[in-house]
Amino acid sequence: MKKTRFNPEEIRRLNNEDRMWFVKYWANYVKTHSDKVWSRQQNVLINSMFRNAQNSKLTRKEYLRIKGEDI
Amino acid sequence: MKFINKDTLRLDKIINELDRFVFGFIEILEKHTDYVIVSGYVVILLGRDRATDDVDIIIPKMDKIGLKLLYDDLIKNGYWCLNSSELDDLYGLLVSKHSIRFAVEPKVSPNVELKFSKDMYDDIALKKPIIIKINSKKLKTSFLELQIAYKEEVLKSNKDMEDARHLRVVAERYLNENLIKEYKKELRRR
Repeated sequence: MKKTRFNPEEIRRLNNEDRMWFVKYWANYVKTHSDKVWSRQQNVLINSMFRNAQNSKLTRKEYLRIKGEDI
Repeated sequence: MKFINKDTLRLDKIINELDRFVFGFIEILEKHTDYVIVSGYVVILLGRDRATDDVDIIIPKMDKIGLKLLYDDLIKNGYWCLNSSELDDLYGLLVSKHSIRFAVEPKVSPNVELKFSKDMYDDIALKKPIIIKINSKKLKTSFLELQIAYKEEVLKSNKDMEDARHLRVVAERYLNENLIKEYKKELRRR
């Protein structure tokens, strides 16, 4: 049986290419559709992340440690 | 999204929770100081499909009394500072080129990451902002050429390169490519 070679570098490169392709696709969508149309879709992601962030149980000390800003 | 001219842009978007959070903070901030919003939130405002838990804002350097007035106003309106509640600590952080974070108490996120202007690029961003008009609100953001140059030349993470690409596509017709090149050259020399 032929062994498949796992090449993390290649996977990372393909992943980055895919991501960049989507960034361009979405940016063109934003450019060619009304603000109301793209923002309605964008808001699903942002509002959901916003609520998750608000439900965070982290203390301010823990949050700053994660950000590397604890003093 | 309509570029009225190179300094003004009008957005007719549906407001989200993050926008509301930013509007609330800016309403207080602008009573005390000039400001400019930079980095991730600007790109999100212009349609990028990602979220952020902090909003970066640069303000001109102010004295301790000015900071106290701002701090007191924020506390009165339900915010708290994540770093400290001692004014001396906060001022010390800001003048040593660090940031301080404000969120709506008792949450830690989302928050505003506030910094004093620390170099000529921050000063330029403050002096030549883009005004983004959203319904009856106005926000001042850093102009796009500088953001693109900084993301592509200094930050360079995947996220920043993607942010820069997004800005290049949505603002394609309004960007001054020579200016981006100039800033990149300057930033390389730093």
